[in-house]
Amino acid sequence: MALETEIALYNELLPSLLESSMGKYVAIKGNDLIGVFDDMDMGYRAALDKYGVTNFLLRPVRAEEPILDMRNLQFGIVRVRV
Amino acid sequence: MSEFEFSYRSAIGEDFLYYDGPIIEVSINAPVPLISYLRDSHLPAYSVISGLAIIDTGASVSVLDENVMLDLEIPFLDTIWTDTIHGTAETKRYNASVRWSAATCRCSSELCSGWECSSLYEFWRGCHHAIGRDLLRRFTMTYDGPNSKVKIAT
Repeated sequence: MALETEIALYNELLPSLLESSMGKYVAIKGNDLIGVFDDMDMGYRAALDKYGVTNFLLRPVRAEEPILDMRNLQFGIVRVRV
Repeated sequence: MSEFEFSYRSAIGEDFLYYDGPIIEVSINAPVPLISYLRDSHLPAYSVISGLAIIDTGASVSVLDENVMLDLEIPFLDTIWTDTIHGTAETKRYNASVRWSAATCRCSSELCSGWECSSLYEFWRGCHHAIGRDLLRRFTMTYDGPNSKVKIAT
């Protein structure tokens, strides 16, 4: 599983983050909470400035992680407004 | 409002819109924060990869070809669980800039899932990107079947 350490720290911090920073973005590298940011670009840049071009976690603070739906992908276009 | 029209009828009258669905040319690049970081750090800029994207209104999320992300060395920023027709799988999430015609569409507010696109599309022909409803909700698209055209307005 990728970003296992970062996601574990995110989950640990989530209760307090939900109280203070709902909708903001949190940047984490390893066990280092880089910060909480108003938008993704700010968090992205802060993480790059600290760690360079590498993988890190940049995730919006939200109560539940969504499960995306790609089940229709193989069927191509199915519904358009004409 | 800007409007872009993509014609799918060949000179001999073949209707590619019917056979292939709406496929448009795109160029994929690193996201703006990464480009500005490289510039400010006096590091070489990322290359741009040109390819094709399929407009897929049946997909709730957009997909970037993970091989392209690896080629461009764009880091992934998150993972997410995704329901597919083959079951639920964990996918990596990327931030990138995708440009088509005169419009630049960033996978910014929502990250794009990285996936090997050839495993998604049975009739895949070099598509690097699937534009799902998360990006399409920013545009107005007209599917003109009788005239083999798709119009996208921004």
